[in-house]
Amino acid sequence: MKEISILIGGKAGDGIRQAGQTVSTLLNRIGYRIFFYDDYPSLIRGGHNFSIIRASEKRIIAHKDSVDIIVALNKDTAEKHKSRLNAEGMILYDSKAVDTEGVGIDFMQIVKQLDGLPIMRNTAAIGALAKVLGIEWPVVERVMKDTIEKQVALNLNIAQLAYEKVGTSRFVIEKLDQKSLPLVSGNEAIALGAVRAGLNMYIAYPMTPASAILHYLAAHEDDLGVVTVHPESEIAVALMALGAAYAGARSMVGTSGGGFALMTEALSLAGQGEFPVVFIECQRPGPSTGVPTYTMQGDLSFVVHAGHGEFLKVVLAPGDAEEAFYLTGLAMNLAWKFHIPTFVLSDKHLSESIFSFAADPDKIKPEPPLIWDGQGKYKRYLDTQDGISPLAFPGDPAATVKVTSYEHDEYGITTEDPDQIARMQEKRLRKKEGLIDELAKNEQVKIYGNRESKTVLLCWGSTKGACIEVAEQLGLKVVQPLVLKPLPIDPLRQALSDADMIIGIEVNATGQLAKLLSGHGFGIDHMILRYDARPFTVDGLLDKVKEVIS
Amino acid sequence: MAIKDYLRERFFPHLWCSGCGHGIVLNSLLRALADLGMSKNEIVMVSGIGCSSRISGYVDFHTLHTIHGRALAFATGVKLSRPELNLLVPMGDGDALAIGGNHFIHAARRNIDLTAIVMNNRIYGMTGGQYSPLSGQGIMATTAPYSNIDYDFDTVELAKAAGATFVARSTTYHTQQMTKMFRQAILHEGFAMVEILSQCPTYFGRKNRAGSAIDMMESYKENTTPIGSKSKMENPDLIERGIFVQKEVPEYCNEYDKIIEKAMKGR
Repeated sequence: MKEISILIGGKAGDGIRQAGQTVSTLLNRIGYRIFFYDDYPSLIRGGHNFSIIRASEKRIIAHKDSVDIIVALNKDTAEKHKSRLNAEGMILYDSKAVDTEGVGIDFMQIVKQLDGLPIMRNTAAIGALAKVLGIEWPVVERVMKDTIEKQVALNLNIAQLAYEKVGTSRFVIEKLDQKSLPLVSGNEAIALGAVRAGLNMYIAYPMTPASAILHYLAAHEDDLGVVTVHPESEIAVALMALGAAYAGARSMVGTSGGGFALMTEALSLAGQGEFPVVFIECQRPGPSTGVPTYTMQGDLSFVVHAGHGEFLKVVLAPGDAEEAFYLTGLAMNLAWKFHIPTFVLSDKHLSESIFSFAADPDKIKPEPPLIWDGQGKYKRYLDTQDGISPLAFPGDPAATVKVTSYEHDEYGITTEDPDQIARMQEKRLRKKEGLIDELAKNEQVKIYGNRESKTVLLCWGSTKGACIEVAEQLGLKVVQPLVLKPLPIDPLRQALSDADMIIGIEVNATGQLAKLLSGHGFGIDHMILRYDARPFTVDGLLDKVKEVIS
Repeated sequence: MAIKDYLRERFFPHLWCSGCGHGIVLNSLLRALADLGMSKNEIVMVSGIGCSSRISGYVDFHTLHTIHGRALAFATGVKLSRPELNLLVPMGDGDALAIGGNHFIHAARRNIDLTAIVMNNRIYGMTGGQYSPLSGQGIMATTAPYSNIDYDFDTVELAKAAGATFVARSTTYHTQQMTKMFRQAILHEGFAMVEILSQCPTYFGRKNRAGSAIDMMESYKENTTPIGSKSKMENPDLIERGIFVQKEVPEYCNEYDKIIEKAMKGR
């Protein structure tokens, strides 16, 4: 397989992510499929940042621990990551800052020579790297023109001088005969999926790793037309979203575990009042502030069980950018069809990684909700056969729309009558039948690898990328449920019934999916858990799976 | 429109205790709406939880009876998606300024066009007579059986400091003034806050030996005075009534429209 992995590292503030994205674009332009992983501390300046760009001729959604090239803008990068280098690997380094073996170039000297800014050191590094990779200068030039916003000519001169200083190329990265795909982060895919499903309003309080959804939608208010609001707290966020939904706007909120903790009050209100709202929960390691800029799949139990009282909700768990796109669209349409809160459960590894994106936008359309026909007196909570009460919105001259957090009658007026209470609870829960039918129209459990294998790697969310590649190498089967509530029992049973050995693979300390499934009679034989706030890599997981199956 | 048409009479008699001031607030509010000739369908009332919040059940408007303290946040979401609607947000003192204090100052700061009504009876009624952030020192409450040591907020000063562009105070004794204030608050473009001192004879009155509902209302007459009156100068303990702030400042939804226009420039 034609592929290459490049690690770029430096201090926070060196523009590492930006440099990594430019390198990704470069390789993307010549036909490679990209997976981009970003590792950064919760700091604005200093510390150690690095990005790994993995490019391959085939679709990939995971990175490896081992790399072919390290681009070291500081000493730390060379020292911390040297051990990752493959046998043929090399280090391209800033010779002023680092003393090591490989190709050393004084990037700062180049920047100074051309009167550039210190941050442009990463431009020099990109230029040099392009030469190391054997990429022709015109390709580099075109990509830099497309990706750099300011001082294009200056940046190009810096990159070109560094490109020339390298002398001979060390690798031959051939141009591949396949079309480039857009490079999209998990968060962008979530935003775009919601927009395709008719998102009107996105409300959020800043919290890593969900913040980029708010940044993206705010920056694109001009062309995507979504109203974005950043209010005083996640409590206000969730309430505003419910208020907007009441008034007919398709609204969505996004946060991480700590922010979602504040939203659970409103979540219950969405259950009682039957509000359609989409919640995006981008997990990061907890408890509490935890490790803010790293990853964990630690909130599955919390989200599945969140909210006091008994009510219907949907939890969807995408594992790559396309799934993030489709499932967010589905979450929006399900919310409005059944008037329930729906969830997309992401994590830092999915949200902030960048993928070659091959989704079909036409697969998502905003499905109109059931609207009141204007006959008789409007009852917001009309008791219907499928539990779905037609919607009317405030301002409608024929309807008075009353909703409440109290148990209520069909008109939305508070009640303490035992028959009414039981009846309305049944009405709401009855929607589950239709919901299950609707979910069944979609793929709920994905299977990868060797379908005949009796050894199953059971995973969810962003862990799928590493699992799929490991399974392909070892001839195993991967089972990935996309729907985590209501659990798709039959498809799971079908996928798991032949298995002799089920290995649960999760990025958490207690095996939350395994626990959830064990409550439905599925036995998990082995667990491979990672809870050091880092995602599984292909090579790292391969060794662990080999240990278990040997 | 006749006041009666704003009501959902089949839910009467209401649940407020006899002598409670909240019915008087409802009365004045409906009169203000009738004076303004507003139709039911252009009004959305959003309330939280507490005695005051039950007001939304008795009116034939679009209503949202939400959760404790959150009415303003909820109303902001409604207003943002449907700016043409008139949002009325009646709240209790605990609702607005204890659990909902953060939403209160931020809604004021944003200057979003809502009419916030704080029905201040200085106590939690529905949950059994606990003190609120508006009770003040020396007040007896279920949670302060030997008297309260917490200082109270001055709702008017708080709203002013937070940036409210219409700030007023009256009492259930001064119904004409209250009705007029509601009219002005509703017409005001921006965040309007009206505090109404409203008696709770059941809890506040009994625990603090404040007498009957009538005695409590009379105390509003005796202990309040128009803003800047001579008697205030003579007796600084008097509580001022009237409109403290009324100014024109760009409103949030309008400003949002301008930002969208700016972003769309050239498209």
